[in-house]
Amino acid sequence: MFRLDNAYKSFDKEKTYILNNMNFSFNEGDFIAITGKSGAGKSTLVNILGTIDTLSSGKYTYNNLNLDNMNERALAEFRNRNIGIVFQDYNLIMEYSVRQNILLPKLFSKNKDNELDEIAKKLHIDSLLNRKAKYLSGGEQQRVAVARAIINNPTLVLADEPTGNLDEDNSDQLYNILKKLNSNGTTVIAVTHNIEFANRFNKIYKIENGQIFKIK
Amino acid sequence: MRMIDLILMNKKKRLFFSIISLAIAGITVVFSIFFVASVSQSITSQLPITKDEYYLIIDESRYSDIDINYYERLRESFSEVIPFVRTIDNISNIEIIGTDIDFNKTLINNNVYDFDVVFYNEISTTLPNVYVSQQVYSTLNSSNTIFLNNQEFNISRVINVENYEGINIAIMSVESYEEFINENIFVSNDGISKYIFEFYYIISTFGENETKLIIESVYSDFIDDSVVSYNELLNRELNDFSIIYQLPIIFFVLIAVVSFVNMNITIKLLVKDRIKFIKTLYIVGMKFSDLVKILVGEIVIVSSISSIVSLILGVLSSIIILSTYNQLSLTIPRIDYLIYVMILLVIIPVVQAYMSLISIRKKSVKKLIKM
Repeated sequence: MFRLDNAYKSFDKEKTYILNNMNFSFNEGDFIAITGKSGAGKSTLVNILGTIDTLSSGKYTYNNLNLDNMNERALAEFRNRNIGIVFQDYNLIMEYSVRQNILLPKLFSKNKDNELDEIAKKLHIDSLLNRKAKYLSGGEQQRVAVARAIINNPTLVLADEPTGNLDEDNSDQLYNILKKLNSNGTTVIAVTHNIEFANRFNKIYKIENGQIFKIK
Repeated sequence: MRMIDLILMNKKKRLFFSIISLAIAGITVVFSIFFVASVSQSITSQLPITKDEYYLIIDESRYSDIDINYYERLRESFSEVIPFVRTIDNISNIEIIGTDIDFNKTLINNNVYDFDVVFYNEISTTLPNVYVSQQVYSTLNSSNTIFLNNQEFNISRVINVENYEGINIAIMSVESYEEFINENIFVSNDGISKYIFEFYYIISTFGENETKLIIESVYSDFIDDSVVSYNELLNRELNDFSIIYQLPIIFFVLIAVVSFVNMNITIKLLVKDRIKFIKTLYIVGMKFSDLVKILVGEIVIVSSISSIVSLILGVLSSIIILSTYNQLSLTIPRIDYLIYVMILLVIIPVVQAYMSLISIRKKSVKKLIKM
């Protein structure tokens, strides 16, 4: 179980709080959408859940493992092993091939085994493996970003506005991919302001005034 | 895919400036090493003695009442010992040098020089023989005899002294010199005959310290300054050119400063330029130490390229500039010096890049990639 307790996050020396005494927990296997207005703190929450950022105060734990107390090295290893993140702008390295982009997490992983071919086939990008990322469409780039996020078989996949740059068809495809991942046991949390997309998830939360509320 | 594959894969144009600036600095150091080697060669080639040669400046008149033949003692220890005594002929103002004449060595202004015979008088006479310099011979209008101290000598040779032209000098054997000023050169005390010299030229293969110890064992009140070695003469000359010898050090300090500023700026710009790249790697589990490995790896490549370019262009520019400069002959410096320079040209920027990265610190990088 991932758990945030009394979480505070401020970027201006604690004058204002993006996360303000937030309490949030989810179990492995959950399929969650988080919505909220722009600037509500959705991306901040993704960064904290993804261990890219840390809390100003409060507690973030995974199965009683206190992630706040970990040093940078241990946190990087935890992130590499347990968390996959998909961004709105994909965060691919455009000069690299699809294969190189997908295998990036393996560079920092002790386990060098991978299921690249199977994942690429599932995401319909197996024919693009040797193509440079810059030559792909938006939908293809997003699928490469998903492939990279799951190459280490993570416990949690976080998607930050994953449909922001996608048309309806590609949004559908992405949903199906995330749903399939979840049906295989992976916890999926998507942060989105696309209500239609959010409504397809099992649970929906809303961020408002630095706090999170379950609305479904 | 390996970590090494990430090196120089992203926005590498920024590094050209570093390569060029480091290479220019390296060329300067390589040239300065060639320049110093050429200046050193020029200085050493003008020294009157070589490594196994020594001057012993010791006025033996102080020991006139001691019944020791120092000359013989020295000859027992060293392969070649040439004694000198000198005075000025008041009438003709010629410097008279009494020496072991067969060694073609003469004493001029407290330095021993080789001389070449340019004229040999084959007419045998009963007069004592003397060698005179070209200068003296010219003033005598090519006469075959010369009067010194009202005594006539046969000019058996006319000599040119290397590195020292236009001097009034007459060289005669110790025996002739003894006749020339008899009471000073020869001392008989309690039946022991000996010469009293003021200067020796010695060849010794024992090394400087051992040579000094041997001479010390001969003379009771020997002082270290009495022996002039090749190294001492060289050091005296080098002191006059000390600023030149500091050139490589000065340039190295400059390089260190340039490299430090350069690396500091380069690393900060590299991090800023590649913020998306770094952010992506950070998201997938890159540690700060991995980032250090990637960027330092790039600087290793950059500084290695700079080092090789410095060596090639530095050698070429040295050959072109120094071979066209008449007063210096191009001299190849010690290869190990060049190797040290190459190694330092790689190590200095790498260390400085590492320091710059550490100065950025994890927090700054984290702050940047959160944007």
